[in-house]
Amino acid sequence: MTPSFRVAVVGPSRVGKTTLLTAILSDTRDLLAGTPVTVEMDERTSVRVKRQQKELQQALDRGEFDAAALGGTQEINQYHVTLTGEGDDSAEIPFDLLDYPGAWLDDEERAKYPHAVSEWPNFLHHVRDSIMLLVPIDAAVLMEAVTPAQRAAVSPLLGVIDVNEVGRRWAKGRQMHADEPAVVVLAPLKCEKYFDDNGGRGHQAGELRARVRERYDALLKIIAKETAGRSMPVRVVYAPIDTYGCVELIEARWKTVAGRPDFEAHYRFRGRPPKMQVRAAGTVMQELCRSILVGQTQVEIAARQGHQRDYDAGVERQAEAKGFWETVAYHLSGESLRVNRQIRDQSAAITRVAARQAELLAATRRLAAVPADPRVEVWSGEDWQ
Amino acid sequence: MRTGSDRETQVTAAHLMTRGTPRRLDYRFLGAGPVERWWRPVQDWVVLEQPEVIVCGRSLLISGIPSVRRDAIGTAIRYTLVVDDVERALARSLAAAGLDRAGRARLGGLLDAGFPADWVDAALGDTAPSDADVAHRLAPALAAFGEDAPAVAHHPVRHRSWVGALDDGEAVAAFLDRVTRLADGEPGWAFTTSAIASVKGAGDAADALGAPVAVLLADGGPMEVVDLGKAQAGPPRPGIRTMTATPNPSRRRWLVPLAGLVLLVVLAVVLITMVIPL
Repeated sequence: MTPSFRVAVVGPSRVGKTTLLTAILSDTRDLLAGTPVTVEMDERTSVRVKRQQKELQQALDRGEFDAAALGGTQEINQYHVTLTGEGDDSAEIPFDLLDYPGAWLDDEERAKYPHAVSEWPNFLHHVRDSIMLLVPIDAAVLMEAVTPAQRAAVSPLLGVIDVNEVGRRWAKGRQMHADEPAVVVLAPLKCEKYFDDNGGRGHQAGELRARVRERYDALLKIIAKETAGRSMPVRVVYAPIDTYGCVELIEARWKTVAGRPDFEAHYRFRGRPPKMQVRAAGTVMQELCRSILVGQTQVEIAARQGHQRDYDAGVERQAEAKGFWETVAYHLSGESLRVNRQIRDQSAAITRVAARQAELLAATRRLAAVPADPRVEVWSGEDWQ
Repeated sequence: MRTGSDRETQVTAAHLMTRGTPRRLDYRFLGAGPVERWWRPVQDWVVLEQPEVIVCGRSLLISGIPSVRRDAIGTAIRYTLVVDDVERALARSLAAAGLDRAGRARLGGLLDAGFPADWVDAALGDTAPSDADVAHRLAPALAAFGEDAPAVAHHPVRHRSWVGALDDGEAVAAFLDRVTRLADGEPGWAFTTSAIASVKGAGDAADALGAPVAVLLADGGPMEVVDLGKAQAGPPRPGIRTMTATPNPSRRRWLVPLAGLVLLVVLAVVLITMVIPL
């Protein structure tokens, strides 16, 4: 198990990865309200989340949503978040989310960026060690494609081939750590228009699900094939997310840019006054927490077993029959001091680890008790295996 | 990439990063780009998608420069300007422009004039520009700022490392003074940051860089310039890993076996003295 729990976010350029991460992180506090578990972010993550919240609040006050204000990522951004047991800093679960510039996923494009080429191995390392593969999907691109030409443009715009390739590498990494959790989250974003459960009047939830399933069928098949025989099967979660809840697609325009089909969407606030109503982002976080806690519990069990082995070895060495000269050597060489210290230290460590384990298990139960968003589905692997 | 400006003494190399209109033309340097990403040591302490100014020695970076261009989905496009081996007056003038909205807008307008959308799309697409072409297009913007401000140091701050707020005029003046002195050859860094918002965070950055730093916080800065040197010289802050002078147990490890050996010798002597009379 890696020192921190990692999440790889894999999506094309301009899909809204940073907005999604901000929604997940800011929504986590609401999810954990009333529990003794708190969310701590490192300063850079916290500043970034607050900035986006501030900009959104200003837009809400103006009553004008300006998608153009949300600039694309030009560097790798890492988010560090820790779940901490209230009043017990030793019971904490650190995890890292890596937000990677979407264009760098494409081999040809990446070759044009010397910095991206040098960072690529680090990204793959992060992917292989990640317990979760989070795949943001532009729901508008998927749903507003009507003509055959538009439908043909969907996969390139969503970067499906690149996502499949990164998914394969992630699955191989998970197979190398078959006893660790493995979760894929397919997260359509900007889907306020297609649902009627969050202030909208859309009735296309089924159509969105079908299109996601169709476009990402190959990814799921790749993952199933690469992780066949795992003791802990890969969990596939479908989570259509409203990152705003009060922003609605009003115009979708297909056009040709530099000889290639592209898609431009215009959004507006809905409601008077518009009110933020994030949907399903928190549920994704809940899924992440569940995996993290499963993994953390395994680490704690392993640590406890390690301490127990050292403790038992010390006690056994202390108790075993020794001849005169061996007894003299045992005491006079300093071994007795070392063994006694080992027994004492390991005993204390076992007590500490047991306390943390109890705390984390309690947190797991509390998080599991939070009801999942009704939109979220856990997909069975039978359909694509 | 060398500029073709008639003010050759002010700049020897400048680079421009931006994106194109199509989705696939993401942020990248036009042409070859800098040989060395000299700003890498501070990259974790800044947000290059936001307006930032970074200066190290005679090298300067300004990010978040607005363009009037929009990408395929309507998002505003930005520039990041990197200038190497910059002369002190131009360094100060460009840094001053990078610190306020009007200055960045003026710089963005000049860059837009030199780099129209069609040209940028072609340059980032299949028609890579020559170094000379990029240099030629950058030269007027740099020349315009080179004619600007006098490079006179009015607001020296004696602290080796310090942090201030971007909206504090005194701190901004001290920052520009530090920029000038860096361009004159002093070691260290001067940078703004949208990534951190506390004196402690700035102190952590100073510790990590291990060099004199001047930091301006875009959000949540202190009311006045704060000396980071005192904090660095004082007790370690929580979370900062420090070397401690605790005794090394390995140095004492030989004492126990030695004591055992001495005892064995004493025992042997006692046994021998008991056996010999028999």
